Amino acid sequence: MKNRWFWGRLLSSIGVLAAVLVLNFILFRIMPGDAVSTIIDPNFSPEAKDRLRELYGLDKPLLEQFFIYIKQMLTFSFGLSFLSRKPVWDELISRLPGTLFLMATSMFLSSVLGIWLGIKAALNRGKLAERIVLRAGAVTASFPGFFVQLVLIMLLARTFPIFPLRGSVSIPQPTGALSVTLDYLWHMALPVLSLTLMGFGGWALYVRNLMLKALGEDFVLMARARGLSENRVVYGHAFRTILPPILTILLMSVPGLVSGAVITESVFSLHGVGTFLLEAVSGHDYPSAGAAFYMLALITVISNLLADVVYGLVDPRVRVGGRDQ
Amino acid sequence: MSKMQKSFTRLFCILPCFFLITVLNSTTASAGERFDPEKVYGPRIEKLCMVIITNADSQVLAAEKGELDIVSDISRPSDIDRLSRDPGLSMSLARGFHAFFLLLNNKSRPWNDPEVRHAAAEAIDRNNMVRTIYSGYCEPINSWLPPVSPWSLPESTKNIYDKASAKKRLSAKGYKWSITGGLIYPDGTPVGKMKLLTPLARVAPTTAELAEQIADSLRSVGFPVDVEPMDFSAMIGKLDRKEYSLGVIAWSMGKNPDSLYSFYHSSMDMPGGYNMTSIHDPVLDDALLRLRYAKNRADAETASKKSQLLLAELMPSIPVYSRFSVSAVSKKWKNVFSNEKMTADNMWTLIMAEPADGKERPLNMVLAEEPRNLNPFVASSAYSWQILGLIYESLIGTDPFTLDDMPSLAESWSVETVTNDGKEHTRLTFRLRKGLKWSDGSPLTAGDVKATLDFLKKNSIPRFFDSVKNIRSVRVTDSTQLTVDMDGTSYWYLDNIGGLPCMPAKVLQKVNDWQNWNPIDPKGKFGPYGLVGAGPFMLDEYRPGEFVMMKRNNHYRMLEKKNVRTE
Repeated sequence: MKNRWFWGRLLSSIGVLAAVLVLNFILFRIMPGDAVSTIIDPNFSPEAKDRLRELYGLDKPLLEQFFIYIKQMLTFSFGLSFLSRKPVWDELISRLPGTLFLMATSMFLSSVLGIWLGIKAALNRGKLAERIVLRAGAVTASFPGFFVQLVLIMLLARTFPIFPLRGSVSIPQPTGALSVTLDYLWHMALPVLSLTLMGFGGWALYVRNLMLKALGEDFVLMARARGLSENRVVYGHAFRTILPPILTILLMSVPGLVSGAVITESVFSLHGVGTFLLEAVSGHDYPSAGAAFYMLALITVISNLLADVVYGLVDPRVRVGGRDQ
Repeated sequence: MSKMQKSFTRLFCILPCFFLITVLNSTTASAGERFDPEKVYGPRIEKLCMVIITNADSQVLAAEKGELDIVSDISRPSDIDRLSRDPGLSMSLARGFHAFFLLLNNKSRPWNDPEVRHAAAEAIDRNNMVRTIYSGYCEPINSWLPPVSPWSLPESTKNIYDKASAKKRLSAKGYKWSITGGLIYPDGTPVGKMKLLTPLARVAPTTAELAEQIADSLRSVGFPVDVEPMDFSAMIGKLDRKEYSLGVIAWSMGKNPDSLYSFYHSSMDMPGGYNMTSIHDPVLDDALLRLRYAKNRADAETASKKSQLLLAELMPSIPVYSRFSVSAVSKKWKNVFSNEKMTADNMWTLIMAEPADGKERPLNMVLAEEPRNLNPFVASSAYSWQILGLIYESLIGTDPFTLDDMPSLAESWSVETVTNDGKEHTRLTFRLRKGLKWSDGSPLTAGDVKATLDFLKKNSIPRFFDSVKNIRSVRVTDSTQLTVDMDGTSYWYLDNIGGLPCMPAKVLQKVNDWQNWNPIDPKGKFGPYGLVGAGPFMLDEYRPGEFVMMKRNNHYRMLEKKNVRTE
């Protein structure tokens, strides 16, 4: 049963991926225009445009283009970017570490802060602490990201120049591993702070609601009646029961680690996957956009699969195969 | 409108433009100061740092904070005003090659009548648009070449706004107006709703706003026009297929007038061609053909003038405005050059600039987009060429005061029409300066230039395809002289060939795959590592997303004149 369930999930995941692959190809081709048609330059004749189309492989029949595309996706050799004429894989890989650091750090900080504040708010229901958390959470979560980021830049990089305005290294770059690391952390502080500020509110509100429900359950009353310490009751019993939905949300946010940085990278002039995606789509760069969306779909499918497995691990009630016993 | 009123309106429009140019340029260190380009020495800085900042707000903040010495292409009026108030910065403003047009589908009613097109042109209040949308940082135009072009006619900024005259023209053609003000064709049928295509407001907010104002102007004389915003690619597709009535578009034009051929010759009304208005006029075609294939400068001047006058008569599209280029420079630098034709972010500034306090340091200049590729054969973005243009030099340069051709690698040249096999063709002869060197110290000879031309022609590289496709043969007479024979005759062949970036023969021989060559890859898989040019700077370090560091080319030809000061 366990195996059947797993193989079933795997097959459906492959089906989703196949659908994404086909849609990826069709959607970009039915979009009006291509990478060449938007060139308006009197020094670039229609003849030269045809030469460029030939170079990009856009002169080939659609079916042939489709098979080339499928082969590239399955072998993870995504071809050359139309815009940069560099291997797409190299471009993606070179941008991934910066984006992952930015998004993973801010996601970790915002979730830890949000969860902690959510628990505190639930434990202090009706008190000032809860009201502060609720208001702060609602305010930070509702402001547009670029606005918060520009205000932070204005305040902490211009008026009080504590942090740098842009980029991830100083010019000239410091020497020595420690100096380079500290310089990088200093540059990333403001982007991470902005994303943490914008992200913690949602977590706090969500966890507070879950905790309120859990704290009202009979097993919590029972734990307290058994004379367990408050910490044990809160973290060992109540919090444990809300872990599955929290883990699900965490894992479902993983694809966002790669794609969710478009605005932040643009505001702070960071070299990442977000800006790569934006340039690829707006520039009709089919190989880059196709590869980026394929990778995103792959990460999403794997994250969903992992969420299912982890859900079973942390909650015995839904553990796979348990229903048969 | 009375003659006095017209003159006043014209003055009202032109004066602020010149005021802006004068005031903003007067604050620049050596703004417009005349110098002899042949006597300039430089680069005087050892390093030039191109800082990659894509966000316009961050660029402004970085300039205010002193992290940037030069900010180029500042387009938002609010940014220009803000930076103008900064006491540490000088502003420079110049007329640009950008031009914005209202396209009319000359094949469809009512735009198939030149008189109606003239009426529409007279109905548009360009001055008001420039004032309200661009706060005056643009120039209303009535010309198919930007006013900065040395080939543009003197009346290129003439204000032709005259609603009464527009109505009179329509009336004379038999058009009538309904009770609601809608236009009625001479045959009695009402003019149907027309769509004015424009890019989406979120992509191009000012263009979308301008389209609304143009539609208002046209409605005020009875044209039933509605704005239809759409994705830019979709819009280009519709313009290309001529599935439109009206559309707005801006493009950057070269300094030479032969681009008019691409935009208005009937042979260019084809898929992927640039004759989007579908104008077909035999007299205009003849003039444009003469312009395109003019044998010498005199013929080119005659044909250029005639073509522009014919365009003014036929009005296939309506010129609206040309944007000024604006840049900001830190006052911590001296010998910054700018005039009404070039903002301070030009090559001459980079060659002559020195720190005002005499302490050597890198000049930090903004790079508004990631260059992404520094392979000169495939790099297509202006940002890649902002860097490559500092590394490579061409045979002919541009005079900073007149924008005419001036010696660069070539000290002199000639354009002749010769007859071979009973057919006339253009022969270009270039004589190189003596003692030229590549950035690695090796001598630069006519053989290198021949190798460059042969390489570009043999590989049909799209970016250079149009420039080299008509090369018939290239001959090296001696180490400093080169003769290029072209198929057919055209005066513009000179700029086509003279403007190409020259590369060393030894590098070109080692490029085994020009498409995949990555000059900054130390493995050198598809060609040699590094970029060797004859320009003022060399690539020192490219850190994607952060900066491109350039260092001085110590073999640069202008460094030899170190004992000659410009002042």
